[in-house]
Amino acid sequence: MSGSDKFEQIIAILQEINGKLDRLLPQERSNNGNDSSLFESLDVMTLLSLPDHLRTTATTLVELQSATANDVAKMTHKERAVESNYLNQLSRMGHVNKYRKGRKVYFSISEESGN
Amino acid sequence: MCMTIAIHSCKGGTGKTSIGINLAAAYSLLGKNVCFLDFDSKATCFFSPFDFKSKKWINDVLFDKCSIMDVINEVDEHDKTGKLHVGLSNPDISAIREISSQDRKWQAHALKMIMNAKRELVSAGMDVIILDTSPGVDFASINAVAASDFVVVLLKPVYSSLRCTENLVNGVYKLLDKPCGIVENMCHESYFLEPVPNERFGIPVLATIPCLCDVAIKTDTQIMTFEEREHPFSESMFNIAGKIMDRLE
Repeated sequence: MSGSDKFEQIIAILQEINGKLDRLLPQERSNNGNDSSLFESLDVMTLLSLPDHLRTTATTLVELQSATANDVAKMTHKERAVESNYLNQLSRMGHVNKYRKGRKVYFSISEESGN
Repeated sequence: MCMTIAIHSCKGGTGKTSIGINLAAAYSLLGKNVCFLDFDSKATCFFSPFDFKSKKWINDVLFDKCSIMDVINEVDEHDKTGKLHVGLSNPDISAIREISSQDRKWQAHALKMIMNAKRELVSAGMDVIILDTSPGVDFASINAVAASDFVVVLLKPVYSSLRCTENLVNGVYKLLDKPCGIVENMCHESYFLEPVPNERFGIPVLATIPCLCDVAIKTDTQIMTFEEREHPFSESMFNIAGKIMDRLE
C-alpha cells in the first residue's frame, strides 16, 4: 500500500469516527437537557493554549467568523477532510459553534446559526 | 491590499503611541489612506493634536453600540497626499473601569467586533490600519495582535526588555503565526559603538532609533513626521513604513 493510500485510509477512518461522535454528541446533549451550554465563544487566550494544529484552524475561523471546512481548507492549504476533523474537534471541545445551513455544515466562533 | 499593523511591546514606556502615530503619518505622506486606532483602552492616548471632542469611542464599537466609521476623525491640517484618520478610546475613568472589568466571554465578543471594524475600514478604502495596543499580555493587546497582519514589536535593547520580548515572540506572535519586525527604540549612544543586530529571536530588526531628547518632548504635542520630515526620528518612520510594505505587499 502506497503512502497516499495509507493517508486516504486514515482520513476515511477519521471521518467515520467523526460521524459517530457527531451522532453521539447531540444524544449526550439531549440526555443532559442542555444543548447550548457546551459552546463558549473562543477567546484569544484560549486560542493561544490550543495545540498547534487546532490553533491554525481556530485562528483561520476567527478571521472568517463563520465558514465551512472547505472555506478553512482553502485558507490553510490543508485537505478539506483534515480541516473538517479539526473543526469538529474544536466543536466538541466547546470552542466553536457548529450549525447546518441548507446542505452545508458551518462552523463559527460566535453563536450564529442557520436559523 | 489593506495592511493592519499592531504596535506592541512587552513593557510600557517604549514609545508605542509615538511610533504608531508617526508611522501612520509617514504612510499618509506616502499617499496611503491610513487609520490609526488607539486600542490602549486602559491608558488612553491624551495626544493634544487629536483633541477631536469625539462623541463616539472605540469602546462603543467593542460594546456593539456603533460602527467604527462613527468613531474615526480625519486629521486634515497637514500637507499630505494620503489621508490620516484617528479613532480613540474613551479616556473617562468610568469607561476605563468598565472595559477593565469585562470577562473572557466579552473579550471573545470584542475580538469579533475588532474583526468586523477591520472589514468596515477595508470596505471604506483604508490602505493601512495601525492598532496602538497596551503593553504586555492582556486581552486588549492580544486581541489587537490577533486582528493584525503584521506586528511592530518595540523594545529597548536592555536585558529585561529583551528577555521579556523573547517570551512574547515565542509565546504569542509565533503561536498566532504573525509576521513581526522589531524596532529598537531609545537606544543609548554606547549601543552604536558596535554593529547593531539585523535580527533578534529570528525576527528582523526594522530600525534602531537612538535616544533623542527632543523626540520625547516633541512627540507629546506634535506629529514629528509631519512637522520635521528631515529629523532622524521621522526618517526612521519612513524606513519602517517601507520595510513593512516590502514584507507584506
